[in-house]
Amino acid sequence: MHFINYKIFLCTAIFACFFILSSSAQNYFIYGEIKDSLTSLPIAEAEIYNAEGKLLSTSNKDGYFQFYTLKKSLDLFAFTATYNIYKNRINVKDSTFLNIFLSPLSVNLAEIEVNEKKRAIFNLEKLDDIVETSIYAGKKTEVILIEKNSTALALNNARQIYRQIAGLNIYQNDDAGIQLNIGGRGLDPNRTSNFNTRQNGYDISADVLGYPESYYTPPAEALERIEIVRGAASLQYGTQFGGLVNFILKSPSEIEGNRSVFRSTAGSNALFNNFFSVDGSNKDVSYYTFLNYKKGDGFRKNSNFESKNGYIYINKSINKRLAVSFEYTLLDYLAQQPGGLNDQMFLQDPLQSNRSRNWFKVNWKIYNLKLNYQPSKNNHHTLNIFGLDAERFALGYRSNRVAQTDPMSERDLIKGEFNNIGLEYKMLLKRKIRNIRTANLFGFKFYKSNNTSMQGPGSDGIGPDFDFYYQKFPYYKNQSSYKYPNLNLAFFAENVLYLNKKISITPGLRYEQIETTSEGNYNFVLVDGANNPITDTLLYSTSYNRRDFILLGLGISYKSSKILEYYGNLSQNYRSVTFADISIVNPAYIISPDIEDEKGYTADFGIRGNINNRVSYNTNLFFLLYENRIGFIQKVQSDGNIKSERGNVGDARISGVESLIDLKLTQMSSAKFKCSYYINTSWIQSQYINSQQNGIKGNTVEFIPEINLKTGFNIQYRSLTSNIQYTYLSQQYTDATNAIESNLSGVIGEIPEYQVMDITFSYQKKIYKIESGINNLLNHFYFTRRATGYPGPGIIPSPTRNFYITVELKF
Amino acid sequence: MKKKIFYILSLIILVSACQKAVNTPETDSLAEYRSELLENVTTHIIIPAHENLKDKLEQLNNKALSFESNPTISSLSELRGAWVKAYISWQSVEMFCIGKSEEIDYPKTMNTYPCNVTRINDRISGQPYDLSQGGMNSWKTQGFPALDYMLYGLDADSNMILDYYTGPDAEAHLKYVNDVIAQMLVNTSLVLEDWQTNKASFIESDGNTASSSLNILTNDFIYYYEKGLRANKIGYPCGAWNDQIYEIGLEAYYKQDISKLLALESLNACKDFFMGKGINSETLGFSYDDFLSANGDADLSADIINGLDEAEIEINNLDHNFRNQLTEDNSSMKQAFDALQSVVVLLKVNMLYSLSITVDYQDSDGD
Repeated sequence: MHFINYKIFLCTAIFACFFILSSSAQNYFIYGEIKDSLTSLPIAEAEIYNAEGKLLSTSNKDGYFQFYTLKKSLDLFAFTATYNIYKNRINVKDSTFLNIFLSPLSVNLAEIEVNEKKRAIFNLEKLDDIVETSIYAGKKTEVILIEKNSTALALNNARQIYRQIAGLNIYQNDDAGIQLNIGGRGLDPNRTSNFNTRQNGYDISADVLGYPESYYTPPAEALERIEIVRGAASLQYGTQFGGLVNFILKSPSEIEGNRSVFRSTAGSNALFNNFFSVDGSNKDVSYYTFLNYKKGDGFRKNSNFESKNGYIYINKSINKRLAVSFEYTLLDYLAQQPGGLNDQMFLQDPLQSNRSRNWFKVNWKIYNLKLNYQPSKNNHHTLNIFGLDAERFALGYRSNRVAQTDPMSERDLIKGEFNNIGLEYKMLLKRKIRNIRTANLFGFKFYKSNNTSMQGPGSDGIGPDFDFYYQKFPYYKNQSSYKYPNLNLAFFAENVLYLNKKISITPGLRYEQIETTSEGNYNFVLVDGANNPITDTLLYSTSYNRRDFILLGLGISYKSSKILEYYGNLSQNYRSVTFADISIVNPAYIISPDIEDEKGYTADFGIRGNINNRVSYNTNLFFLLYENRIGFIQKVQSDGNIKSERGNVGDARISGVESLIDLKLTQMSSAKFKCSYYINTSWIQSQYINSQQNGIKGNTVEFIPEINLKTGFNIQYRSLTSNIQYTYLSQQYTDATNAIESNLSGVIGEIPEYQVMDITFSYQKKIYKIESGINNLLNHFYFTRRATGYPGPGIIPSPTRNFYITVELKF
Repeated sequence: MKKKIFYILSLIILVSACQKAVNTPETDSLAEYRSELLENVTTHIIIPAHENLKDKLEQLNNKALSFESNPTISSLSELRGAWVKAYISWQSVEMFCIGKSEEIDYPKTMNTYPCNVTRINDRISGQPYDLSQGGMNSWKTQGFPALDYMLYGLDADSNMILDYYTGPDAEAHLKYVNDVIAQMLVNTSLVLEDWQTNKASFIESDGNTASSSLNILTNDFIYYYEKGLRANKIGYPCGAWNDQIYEIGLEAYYKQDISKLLALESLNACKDFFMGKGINSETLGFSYDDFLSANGDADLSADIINGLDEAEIEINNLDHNFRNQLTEDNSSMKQAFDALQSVVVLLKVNMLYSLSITVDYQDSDGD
């Protein structure tokens, strides 16, 4: 197999980097003492940060601190609970000794209040214009700081973690948050497939083009932040309509020594979650690693899960300019799934299940090697070489007749294997041409995948047996086997031009070359009216599609003042034809010879800023044109037969307002009690403006709630914080005909409006922290999705009221 | 102050820009036709067809009881006659797989063929069974095809068959016949009752979504035409897809000489439904033909009726007993198949386009 060669290549590259290039680092050594400005006594446990908010060192009981840095000039901040903040810029020549004096405060601050001060200074809520080798100027960017969230982390509750991201539609059917299903701006949330999903900047989905579903997303407990860039991210990150979701994992502290975090969670339905992480640094090597074990019984009958997730990151500074890091991620996950319900069953008892033999298994391995090279302050290069070796098995009895008793015969088994390797190089150059400051980004990406998909008869047993039983069930109706060798090459460039202090424009372009291939076969089992096989024919199908094109984008930002910014952008998008789009698994279907990628563009116009430091807001209007949507039409063949032809059948437009407003209800100065209110709303309108399918034109696009509201209070009293949140989504359609009534399978019909309330508490003291909460406080029965096939078909109910408690220890 | 004004202004621009983006829903001018069609076919076709069938099944049940009390050649022949009459009236019912009918898979319980002879014999010889159970394995042992086997297929001729009902295993055989008929009656009553109860709400659902009445009804109709009539009755037997004759796949395989009659009944039921002809009357009510004409597609309506007429001619040319036709001259069977197929195109592509109805078979067929 090809991918084995890639692995060998990857491993060799890693070893080469660690051992051949192990020249000694040229770090500057900074050390010193922190003292009380009045008494000159040493201050212990004072924290020293750089301007990016990164903890560099903590003073010991003698007030002594030390750290290494690559930078010649840096801003330092020193914090501790009972002293005023210290800020100073230092210029480093060689090893430097610093004496820092802190002036005492009149009142003591709780730990959390200190943290809040830090955040106020570092202002981490939005992405800077330029971060490493990425440009975010003029785009709609949102950042979720996980530490600050401190809510339902062990449960990975997307409803809460993403509460400050406007307009997200979330499938809520997974009680440990192992699988993330979010969609924005009216795009299908299923497996976050409309976002380009990355971890620390590299792809983690099954296949970026052909199978953009994310079966692995990192646990919230290991995250530092989540960056979301909408629509206009296309040019640097690929092309998805939804934009980018980038999970930034915690990175090792630069303080020498090792630190560990233990977190243990117990929750409703026998939920058990254990998280353990260690990080450490010495002069030029640092690492971060975590292990996460989750187990639970699920909230419905016939469900349970067990997940093992591990990650390791090692970074080595080769010299002042060059750093090499390697990351390895592993997820092994097995779940029993209770199947779907129809509306009548849901009303009767949303927790019932009549499917006792449905299983799902994921094994995900991701490798990444990163070279970070910064020859000068204005010149930055990154190179990521990444690989994925993954499989996904779905086994189950999935009749459209969801109420029907399982006949205990063969089950349907689908096995997908994903092997891909990619390389992404980015270079950022900051320059000044005449009086205009510019930053130029260039990059290229190479992506090669070799994936397979097989469907056939699974065992007639009960357990998670992921073998095919061809001999026992030779006439099983759904049998196919496909290979999908894909190749993608992209070049991209983006430029920020600061026309003056206030206005910046960001033009960009991306050239894509894509080769999509599908080769395989499927069985045509002709059956009579009583399902007896008459003949069984093996049919072969191959398709090859090569195309290249250029996408353009433009962003503009006008910073009218430090506290008010106008931004606007327009960017072309596309969604490549997926594997499912180009393979035939049933002779009743054909693929249009003219099938092409779905295309369109996204535009944003918005304002963000704050008023008097009391109200902060980010409000924008967006418009999304989605052309060439893929669907089926009935086509008469030359032999007089009619087949369902999959092709580009329609265009849709989606537009709306997204808004996030944060309101501080108490003044910063009143230290003990703080309260803030937030309201996150989106209002979306959509329409099919064109369709070759009958009766669709003029209809509303499916999965779009007109109103999507998340609102709540963040309350803090000393070391105790609490969040109470109310979520409301208005009614959504699940099909293009806009059916409200359902049918026997529960597959079509509306998703009624729903509301959920969640509450969380967290208490932190020194090395320990306790988190607790209740999700779906009012115990509403609701659902957020109707699955057409796996994991249903039918209504997939959302969790009822559940409770959890987490204890964290940090050493 | 200036900033605040700026902020407020921008908000207003945002909101007003959005207001323009709101879509005005197109007025649904066809809703009236839809409800007229639904009203007519429910009142004059669907419900009377079910009543008629129930009536025939009750007569069948009576004949079975008389046969049980006095199994003779003449009572067997009366029972068989009632079976044929009921089978004929079934042809006007099979296409309506909606509501309770869909829920209990009524068409499959009544007419899944070929039946599973081995399984039926096992049951007669004592294996426990429950005909109310769903699933293909159960459906293959009941309904008209099971009776076809019990009344015509047990042995070579009538006298020999009668022996099964008078011999040592008579009781088991009689019981099975009665059980099958009883189940057919139970199911039919359930479905008829459902239609009578939910008639109003069925007609009321006059929208155009995947779960609206006309969408379901039309998809069912075309599905039945394509699968129940074209494929099951003629396509599989004549080897339309694999060029192999498949005799056992014929409807009324054991009775033999009514296969053409049943196919013609089915075709006429489709035509009557298309034209809105009531079950117990000759008058034509509002149905698809009128709907198409009202939509400006009178030509299409005429083409469909012509196509159905031509298919009728082709089927009429065949032997009464399709088993003979298959062995003697299969090409005529294939011609009949082609004639039926040409109407599928008109219904499934042209008519659905005119009526703005989306095809959704994945749901309704289950295969």
